[in-house]
Amino acid sequence: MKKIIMTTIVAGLVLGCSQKEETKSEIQAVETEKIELISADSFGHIEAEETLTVTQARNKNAGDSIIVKGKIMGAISPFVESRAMFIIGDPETITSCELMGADDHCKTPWDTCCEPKEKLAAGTISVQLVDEYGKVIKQGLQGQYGLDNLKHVVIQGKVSELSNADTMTIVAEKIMVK
Amino acid sequence: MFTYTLLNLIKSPVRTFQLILAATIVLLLMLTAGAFQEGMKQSLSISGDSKNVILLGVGSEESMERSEVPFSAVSAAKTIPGIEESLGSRAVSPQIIFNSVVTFQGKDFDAILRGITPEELLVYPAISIQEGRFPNSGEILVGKMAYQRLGIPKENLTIGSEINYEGKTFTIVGTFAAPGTTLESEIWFNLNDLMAITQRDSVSAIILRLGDAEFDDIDLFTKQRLDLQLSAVKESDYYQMLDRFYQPIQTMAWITAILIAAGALFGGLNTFYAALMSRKKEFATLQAIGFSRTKILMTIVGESLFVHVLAFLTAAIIALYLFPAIHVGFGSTYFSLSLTPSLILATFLLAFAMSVLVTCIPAWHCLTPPLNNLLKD
Repeated sequence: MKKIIMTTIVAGLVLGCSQKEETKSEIQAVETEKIELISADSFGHIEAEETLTVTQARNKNAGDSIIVKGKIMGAISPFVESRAMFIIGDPETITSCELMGADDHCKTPWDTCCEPKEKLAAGTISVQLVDEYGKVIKQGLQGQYGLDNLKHVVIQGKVSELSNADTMTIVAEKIMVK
Repeated sequence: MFTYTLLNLIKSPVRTFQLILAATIVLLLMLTAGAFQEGMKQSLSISGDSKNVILLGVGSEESMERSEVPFSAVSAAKTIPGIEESLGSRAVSPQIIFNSVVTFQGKDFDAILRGITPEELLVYPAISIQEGRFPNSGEILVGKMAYQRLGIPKENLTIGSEINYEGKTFTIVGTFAAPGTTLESEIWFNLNDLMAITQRDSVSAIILRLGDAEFDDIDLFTKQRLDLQLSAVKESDYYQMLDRFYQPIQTMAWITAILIAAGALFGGLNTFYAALMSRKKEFATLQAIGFSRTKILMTIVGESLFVHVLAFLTAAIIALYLFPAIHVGFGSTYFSLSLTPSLILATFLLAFAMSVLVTCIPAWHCLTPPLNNLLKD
């Protein structure tokens, strides 16, 4: 009788553990799938003779190839939580709040709340990574390959067809975090 | 023993009445504080719909009244895929909201004015027009609690009445209900009327109702259209933020109620103490003729329980009838005191705990000393 009970307990434990293992591997599979949405090829070193500032880049037209440098800033949260998109600003024309010196005047250090709206609109660009259908990848970029608020980045890509004289979006092919 | 307990209560009706009154005050105060909290919480939480997203001007994420959104953002927002749609109209509702002074029957009143379009009913399905119809130009719709906000009798603010604002006359063509929300205390104008009067070319905010889209799609839109300088805020988060703003007021209400209740509790304790100490000899005699201390203690607690149950019933009945008629206003928020089953249960448990608590000290003094000492007293 004792043997039967012991065997049942051991069998239960083994089955329980293997089910847990299965669940773990399922979660890992989902996570891996998630990470794979953003390709590692989108990040790396960019060789460029001439890099434009955000303000200079604003003169380019939709469809133009471009290499632009900027700083991740320009909003309370420059990243979209679960979409491959962020905002870069021109550090030469826009001052982010961490450089302002005074405390408590902005909600976040990467906000640019003290700048006039017109200056902000002219000195910021959206950067996005798209899938093969041209849709923005449904995964956040913050924390990926060193990308974070206030980081200086160089973007190589094309000016999106959605861009016009008032607003610009770059479809990134490669992102370099400085 | 039960008959003895009841007879004791009837024997001194004035004393019993005093005890019930003291306990009723304590319980009513606790119910009031709880109902105040619930009313404010419900008003703020229902106002935030989890499917709604508010587009506000950058830098004004905490105040719709302060925010400015360019009117061109309305047509741009309508292009976002996945917004809820009904009968060909997209649930995108631009609006202007601010506090101002309106004139009614020759007197000036402070009011919350909102300029809206028919899409407002798409983003807030809970809103219903109770009487009349949606306003056209020169007409207004009033919330069913707007009369409270204006401080005038309800019957004065009916369909056909006229309100003046900035020298123009507006006729009331309907009343609306938005259960438990702050919207009910507002006066709604046609958006174009309010934009023309205030000479604005921007709106305060745009409210969107999500269909298949997620919040991040709206956030993505605001970051793609940097020229519009918009911020997307979940409506539930916006009202949670307001809730945090009102948190100190709620805490203050609790502290005030607890302090007053503590005073009333000590008063009740004193009354109970005096009432029981005057019967010290009676309890000693009961012990002398053979009743155990436990039985006498049970009688004392039984009396107290009876008093507190009566007090609870009185307080609950007063609250049930009185609270819905009490409307409280804080800035742009108006709400009724709200009773919930959990609050009533909590008050009953408090009454039960109090009934035991107030008898502890007098019972100790009446029952623990040696019997001969008590009889000599």
